[in-house]
Amino acid sequence: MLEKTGRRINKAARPKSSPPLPHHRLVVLGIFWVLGLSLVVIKLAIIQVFSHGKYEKIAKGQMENRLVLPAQRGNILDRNGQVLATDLIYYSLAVRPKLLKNPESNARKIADFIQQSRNSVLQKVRTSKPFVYLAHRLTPETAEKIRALKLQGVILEKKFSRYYPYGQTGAHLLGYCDFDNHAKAGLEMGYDEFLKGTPGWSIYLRDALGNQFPNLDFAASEPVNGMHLETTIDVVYQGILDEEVKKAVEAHQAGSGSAILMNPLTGEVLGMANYPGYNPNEYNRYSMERYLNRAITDLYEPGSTFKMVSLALCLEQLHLDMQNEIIYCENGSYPIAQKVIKDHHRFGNLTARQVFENSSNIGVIKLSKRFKAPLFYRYARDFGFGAPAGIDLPAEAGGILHKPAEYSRHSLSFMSIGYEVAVTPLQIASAYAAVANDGRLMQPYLVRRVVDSKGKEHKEYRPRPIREVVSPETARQMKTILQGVVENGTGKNARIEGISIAGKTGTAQRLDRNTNTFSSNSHIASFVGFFPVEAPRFVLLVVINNPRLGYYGSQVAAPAFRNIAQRIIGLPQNDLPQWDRPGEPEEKKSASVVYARADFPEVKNVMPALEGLAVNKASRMLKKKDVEYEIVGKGETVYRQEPSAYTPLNGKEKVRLFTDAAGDPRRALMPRVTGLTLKEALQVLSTWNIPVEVEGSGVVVRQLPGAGQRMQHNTKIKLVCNPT
Amino acid sequence: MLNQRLKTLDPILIFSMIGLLAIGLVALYSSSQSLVQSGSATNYFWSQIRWILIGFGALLAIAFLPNRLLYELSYILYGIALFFLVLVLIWGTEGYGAVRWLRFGGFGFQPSEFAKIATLLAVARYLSEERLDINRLKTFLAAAAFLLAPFLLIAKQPDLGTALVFIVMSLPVLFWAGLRWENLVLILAPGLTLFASFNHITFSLVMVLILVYLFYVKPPMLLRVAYFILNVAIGLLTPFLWNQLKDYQKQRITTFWNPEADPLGSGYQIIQSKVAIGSGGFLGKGFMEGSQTQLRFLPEQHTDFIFAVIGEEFGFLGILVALILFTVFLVRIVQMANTYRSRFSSVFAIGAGSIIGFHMFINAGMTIGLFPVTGLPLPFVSYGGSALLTNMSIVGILLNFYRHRFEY
Repeated sequence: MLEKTGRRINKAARPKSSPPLPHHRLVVLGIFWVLGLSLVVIKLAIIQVFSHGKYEKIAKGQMENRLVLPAQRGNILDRNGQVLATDLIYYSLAVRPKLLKNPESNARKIADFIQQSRNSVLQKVRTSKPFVYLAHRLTPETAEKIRALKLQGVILEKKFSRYYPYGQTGAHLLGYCDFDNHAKAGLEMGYDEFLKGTPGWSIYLRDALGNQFPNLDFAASEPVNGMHLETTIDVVYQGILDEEVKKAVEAHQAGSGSAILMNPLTGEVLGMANYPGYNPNEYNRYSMERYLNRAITDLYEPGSTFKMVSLALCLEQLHLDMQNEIIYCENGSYPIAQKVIKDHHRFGNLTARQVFENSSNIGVIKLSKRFKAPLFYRYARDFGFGAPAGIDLPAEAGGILHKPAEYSRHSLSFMSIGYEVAVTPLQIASAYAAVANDGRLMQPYLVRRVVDSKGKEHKEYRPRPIREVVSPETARQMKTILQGVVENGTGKNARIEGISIAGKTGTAQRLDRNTNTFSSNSHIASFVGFFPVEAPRFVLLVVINNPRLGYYGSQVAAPAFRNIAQRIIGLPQNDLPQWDRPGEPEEKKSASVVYARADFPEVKNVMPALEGLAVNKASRMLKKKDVEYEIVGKGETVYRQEPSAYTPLNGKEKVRLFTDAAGDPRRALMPRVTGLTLKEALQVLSTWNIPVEVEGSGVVVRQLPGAGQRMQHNTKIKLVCNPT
Repeated sequence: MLNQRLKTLDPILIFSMIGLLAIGLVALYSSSQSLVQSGSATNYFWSQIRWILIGFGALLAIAFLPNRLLYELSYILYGIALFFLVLVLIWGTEGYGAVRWLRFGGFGFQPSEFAKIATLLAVARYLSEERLDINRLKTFLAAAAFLLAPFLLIAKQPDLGTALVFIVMSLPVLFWAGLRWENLVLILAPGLTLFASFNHITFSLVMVLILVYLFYVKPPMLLRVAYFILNVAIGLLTPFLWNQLKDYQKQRITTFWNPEADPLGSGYQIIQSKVAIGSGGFLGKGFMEGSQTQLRFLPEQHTDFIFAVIGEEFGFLGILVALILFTVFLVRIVQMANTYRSRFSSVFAIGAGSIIGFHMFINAGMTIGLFPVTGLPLPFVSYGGSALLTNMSIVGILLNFYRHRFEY
């Protein structure tokens, strides 16, 4: 009804009863619209134009995620290229609890892979923290399995972690790295700046769910992997040292023991061992004292081995006729400064030579009465005592050597037999190395070259002579007397048939700091020597602390010295020259094997360091020296040379330069891989490009060839594995 | 022939609308890419295109309906709308913490959208009845009842944002229909009481002001007393009703004042929206280059916060273009309201402009932190079939009226 009337009215005319629409009111509506719109536009301008920078920064912070790309730490290699320390890839497992769905069931799934109980995983996941770590050092296989679960909020971080293929062997030299791969000791720490490399970074776009996308528009920096260290260590020698020190310590129920093996001509440290030690792969399991590299940190009163300083004075300052000078040795008992000095044997009259050969304390003290204190100090100082030897390891101790002004009336007497001084084993070893090297003291060192990750040489360390301590003539005389020690005197236990050895025993009573008396049941037994005497190649020191079975250096340390020396001489890869039998005239010996002192590259008759050089450059250098040479392999750079650098050349030997692993019989010494997981073993072996045959899976239980064996270029490695 | 007929449609209204639809499609395309890439959502872009085509169908169909048909049908449509609103409370499906949808087979339908048109038609018809004076209490209450019924039903869902549309749209409509200023003040005063009621001092102050005003305007005594009691009742009931609100509604309102206080919860959306718009700067980051959009930091970017996508990718200038298009569109509607001879058409046009303008204003204000997050989409731009169909139908109705603008 209503509609009908409405239509009629509308058809007819404008309805008069309704008031007209108030058209002017549109202005009011318009004003409201303009006001509202201005409000929006003003606020927009504030946000977009005036505060643009602030919001842009917030946006960037939300979406740009700076990722650190870890650099791979450089390897530490021994002198033959064996890998002593390397980085393996491990994974750390972390979780963003907020993003993890069904924590109960997923925690169980994860727990199975990381060998943790479901509850402990669940506990870690139930946290308000945005990010928690669940496990570290997971192998790539485990990481792959966890990744295959495709759980949201689970993060696998790739990390490099240090691995030491030889375990305890050389641990004190190498040092170790913690879980974050930060160097904590040894070469790792001393050369950290080269080894660690530069981590890279890249900016990833991150979305609201935490996914990350690489973005090419952003700057990024590639990580620069760390450089490799080529050390002077020979892992075979090092292994021998470790074994023999351990044997000696155990055989004599000693507290600890150390050994140092050096090349006297160059100061290269070939090996350095301490027992008990630690396995750097499990660095966090041991008590503090096991980490001490006693060979460079232990201070002890050396006793008889220090008599070499007195010997040097007798020869060079007193010009003593060692064969004919007679000293009365008081029948083994001599009071001095309220103490009674005793000899191990009741000696009567001895020649000066016999005094040293038999290590008579009384004889040396009586000789020392003729020394001038400043001269004695100078000789001791020149041999390197009282200051760090300067080896390239952290935490080397300097020892104590009092100045003449501080001497008491009897100081010189005590010092002449190795008391009232504190030395490190390394100082003794390098002082004897100076004698072996015709009186020239060399700085001991461990790193020959630093090579960057692309194989380019970054830095080279050459042998560094410190000073000429005694004249070559004095040194020669000292050598013969020290040889007499081994042949006729206290060092007989170190004698080896067929090789000339010079050395000195040392038996020091430990000074009890509380009572200021020498303890009669706490000793330090040592033996230091070098061989072959005619052309010394090795200096070896053995120090055994607190032996309970036996205490003389001759009983405890000398046999260990002999065992080590014997094993070194017996090694097939050891290119020791044919030495002449002892007993032949001295002149003839030195004529038959011409060994120069450690002279340096500018001297013509020394093998130059060619490793790492381009082949053509190396051959040019050899041509300049008129040396015959042979290039083995097809590579472009020399990675090993034979003979090694700085060995003297007689002009007749054939120099061989190896340019790749194939033709080199020596480089490929099989490392020990038993006990490793297959993956680890393959990573260790991967550096050689030699085919590996694998039987089974899991942990390597047998390897062919065995550890330490030489591999020919056609050798096939076979690993037998057993699942654990 | 068809061409001839199309020429009877208003080009300014149509093209400004097409401009807004285009902006929406561009933003949706950009936003869809990020969502499709993640494999987590349907492609809103193509879905929206489908809805636009359906919308145009509806628009043209309505535009060419015979004259006065909508007038005739308005009360019936209003009845149907109320019926659906009741139905949705019984059988509706849930979304965003409220029951808003009716499902017929696979087809979802939001009765509150349809109710906007139907209510507006009914109110416009009522206010164009003969010899009606809106300034009379009886007429006013009747008009208010038209608006209040859907308001209460929608608020019950609860969809406060949409419900509020009915209140806000009523003011310009009543004003346009001739409501006197002093009565307008009386209508607005309870709103003031509402806000003042949370504090005793402001509440008392507002009460005093109302008393003074009542004595100044001098309505009948009974009315005066009743009105005053009404205000007091509102003031006392509001805090009580506040506690009846759903948590998410309370949160929306409280975090509106300081979104940064709850950056992980409801404030997150506003902060992200401001960051997206702010980082866009004056010229924007470029099409598909909006990192906040593409990396999905921006929430609800295809619906509630599509304005922020425009702001991030096209900057201040891009947003200005959209705002200008809206202004052209709304000014054209007001011009139409001014030219329609039919009072019914004219009142409807003002109401339609108010609805669309209010949506735009609230949505834009929300994305830049001027208003709370209400869930009102940006007309023609936001993704959403029901809203699009409603808005395009409204345009269809306006065009229908425009074709008959010289008729009473």
